[in-house]
Amino acid sequence: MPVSIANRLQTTVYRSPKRLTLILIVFLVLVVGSQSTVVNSQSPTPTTPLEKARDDYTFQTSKHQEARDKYLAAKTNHMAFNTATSKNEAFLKTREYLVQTHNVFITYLLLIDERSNKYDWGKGPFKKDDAHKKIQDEVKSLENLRTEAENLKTLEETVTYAQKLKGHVESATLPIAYTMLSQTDLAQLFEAQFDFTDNANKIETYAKEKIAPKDNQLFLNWQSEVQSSKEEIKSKTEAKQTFFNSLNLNSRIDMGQAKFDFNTDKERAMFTPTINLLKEILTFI
Amino acid sequence: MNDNSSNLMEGGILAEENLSDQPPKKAGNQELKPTRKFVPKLDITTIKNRLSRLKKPRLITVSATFIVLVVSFALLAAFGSKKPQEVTLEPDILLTSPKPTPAVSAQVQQIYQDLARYEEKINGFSDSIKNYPPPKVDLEVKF
Repeated sequence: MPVSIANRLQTTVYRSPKRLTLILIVFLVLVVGSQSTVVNSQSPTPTTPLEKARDDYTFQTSKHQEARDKYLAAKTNHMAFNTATSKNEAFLKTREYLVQTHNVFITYLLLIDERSNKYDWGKGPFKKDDAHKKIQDEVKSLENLRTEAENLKTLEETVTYAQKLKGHVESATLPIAYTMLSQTDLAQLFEAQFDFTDNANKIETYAKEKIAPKDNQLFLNWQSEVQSSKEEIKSKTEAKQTFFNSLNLNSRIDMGQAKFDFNTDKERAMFTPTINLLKEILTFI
Repeated sequence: MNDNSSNLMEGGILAEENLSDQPPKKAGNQELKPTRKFVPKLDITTIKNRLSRLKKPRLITVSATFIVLVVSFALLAAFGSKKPQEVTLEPDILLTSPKPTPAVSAQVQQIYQDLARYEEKINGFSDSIKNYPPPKVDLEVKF
């Protein structure tokens, strides 16, 4: 029986090679199509709100760069030829550039706002809702200004409006962003400080019951080291908060020299050795 | 016809038959060598005919191609269904103590879970204000 099936298959193969070729081509297309589906399913699409906010900001930044290039080209053209057509083109491109500038700052604010959601502000001195509200209010202000930009009618108006927007960004947008970012960094420190203290207390309570008498000295040394770390972290975190409070974050920030100097690198570095410190005593139980 | 003439005819016929086995002769009784056609070794027609007679290799080729495609598809589907690595909050940490320990208690498990979450936060400290510089925008618009 199998021989007859093989013979039939062979006969079919030789009688209709074109059909066989067609079948193979269709199969290959299906395989390639499934491959592309698998690849697309593995492609990096934003999954978290923070990633989506980052993608939005990146997208608007690239659009802004395109709009800027067009604005500069139209400006150069108009400066060279100074015709009604070149003026109109310069007006349109300048307006588009100004509108896109709003989008960049709006998505930037939304990005740093989303970033703040990663951390528990409850362990620090700031209230997230207050900071969040300031960001949302500023986003609305920028959206209102964007509407105003979209309704500009002449090239001269774009020049005036650009100065107005610059003033707003320097006096409101950038200070609000700087404040939010700094407070988020501090919130991270306070949250980490709380978690370290909380974990240390739990492990200390557990270890006190379980530690063998011969390891008691070791446990005491560990306790001492944990206490030192707690004090150091508390001291430096509070110092950083004091420094933050001394900053006049409502002051104007020049766009040309905009730089957020608030730095918590040293304070963050304190926490890295605490991971192994907390685990250490558990190895002796 | 009488018998003598028929015998002569038969003899003539027999003589002719005998002569046909021998190579043809020229007029000067010299033997002519048989001329041969030049048959090239790589004759396309011959190859085609031979290939058409070969059944098994072609069937094997088709079957092998089919199997390779199916296996490739299965492997791709298997790799595609792999989930991205997820951060686990319940690590399977082994206690390394000098003496054998009983089953890990719920209290210890909770401690290790909290430690894992704490470690994750500390490792996330690379996310700071430095990663969010303000947009560089030029609003000095002049014509």
